[in-house]
Amino acid sequence: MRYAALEVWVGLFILFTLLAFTALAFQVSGLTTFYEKDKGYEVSAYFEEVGGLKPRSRVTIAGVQVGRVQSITLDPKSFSAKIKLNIFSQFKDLIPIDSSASIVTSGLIGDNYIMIDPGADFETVQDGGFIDETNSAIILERLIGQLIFNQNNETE
Amino acid sequence: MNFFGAIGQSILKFLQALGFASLFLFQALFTKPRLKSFHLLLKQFYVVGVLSLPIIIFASFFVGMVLALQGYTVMVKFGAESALGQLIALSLVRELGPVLGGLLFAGRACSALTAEIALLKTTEQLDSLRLLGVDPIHRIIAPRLWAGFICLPMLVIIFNAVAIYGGYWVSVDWLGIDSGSFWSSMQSSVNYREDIINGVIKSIVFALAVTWIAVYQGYVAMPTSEGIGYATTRTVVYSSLVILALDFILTAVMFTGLK
Repeated sequence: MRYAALEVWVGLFILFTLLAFTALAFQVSGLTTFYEKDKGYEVSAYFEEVGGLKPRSRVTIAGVQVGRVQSITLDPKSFSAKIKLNIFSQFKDLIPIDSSASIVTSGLIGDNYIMIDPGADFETVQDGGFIDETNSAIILERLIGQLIFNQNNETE
Repeated sequence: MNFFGAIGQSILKFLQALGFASLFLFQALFTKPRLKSFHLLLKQFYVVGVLSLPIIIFASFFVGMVLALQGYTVMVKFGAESALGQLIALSLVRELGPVLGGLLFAGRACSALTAEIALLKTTEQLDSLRLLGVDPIHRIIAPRLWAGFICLPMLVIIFNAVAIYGGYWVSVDWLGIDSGSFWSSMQSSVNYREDIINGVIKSIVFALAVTWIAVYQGYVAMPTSEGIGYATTRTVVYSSLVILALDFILTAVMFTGLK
């Protein structure tokens, strides 16, 4: 069957749009949930202060991403933040149970993310487990305030 | 007394026109589609969509490149030039793509739609169709309206993609930004649902507004050669203003809750 030039052009136009949309979805927005089979496993941790941490922030060990932050909620009893981390399943049975998690900032004005310092225990954190030892985010204003307060005390 | 009368009259006139335009829109949008008239839609796809493609691609490529250059000169002062990809992608996907695409579309395709329909009216071809028992709203208006309504979102998607690659070309090949940090800063900040889909929704709203204005202005144009000119001018002016006003409202609804 032969097609008119007009039909060919319209077909090309539609194909081109689909191509552009795929580029936008995957290359630009980094959409991965459609084909992400890797569900990972869940680890929780309590923090006194989360600072500017947001859901989907990185979780790293030695700077390598091993998961992302799933949710941040307030624990009503202890008034601390409960953070659920989603660790990729390729790092299952890898994080020692005495590891510590800290919230750090990339660069001076960069995003907050979670850094896990691996411990030495042979037992590892399992799905639904906890990381007990945590270091809260550093609030710059509070540090500066403390510094000024200390200086004032010294001069008196 | 005359003053109040004038205000009342103009408002009533406006409401009447709005009511007529709404009826007209519903009639044209919800005509019963027939397989036999599909070739009419295809023809309009070609005229409205494919023929707008060159100026959309040309404009978007340069918009992306300018964004990269301007963003670089500012961000390099803060040492934040690795976030250039984020700046380019977010500003394009959220704002510039739908708005600039819509404005170009209003100038290129909508003005042509108005002029064509107004000329059909001036040369009494709409009336002859009616005499032949063919409803001009079915045969002339509906395919043009649907084609514009579908084509503008497609053109905006192409606009966004081409502009981002234009920006990529300038920032990576010219300004020497690392291509990995260009894409990763973009991917970590652009959200599929909140940015890409909201941008497309914006363009769908613009598409409906501008093609509606275009076919309506053509349909109610004064059937003189002067009237065609007025109608075309009004189409371009109204649709540009409507795009900018709607953009503010949509941005306020969509993006103010985001960080």
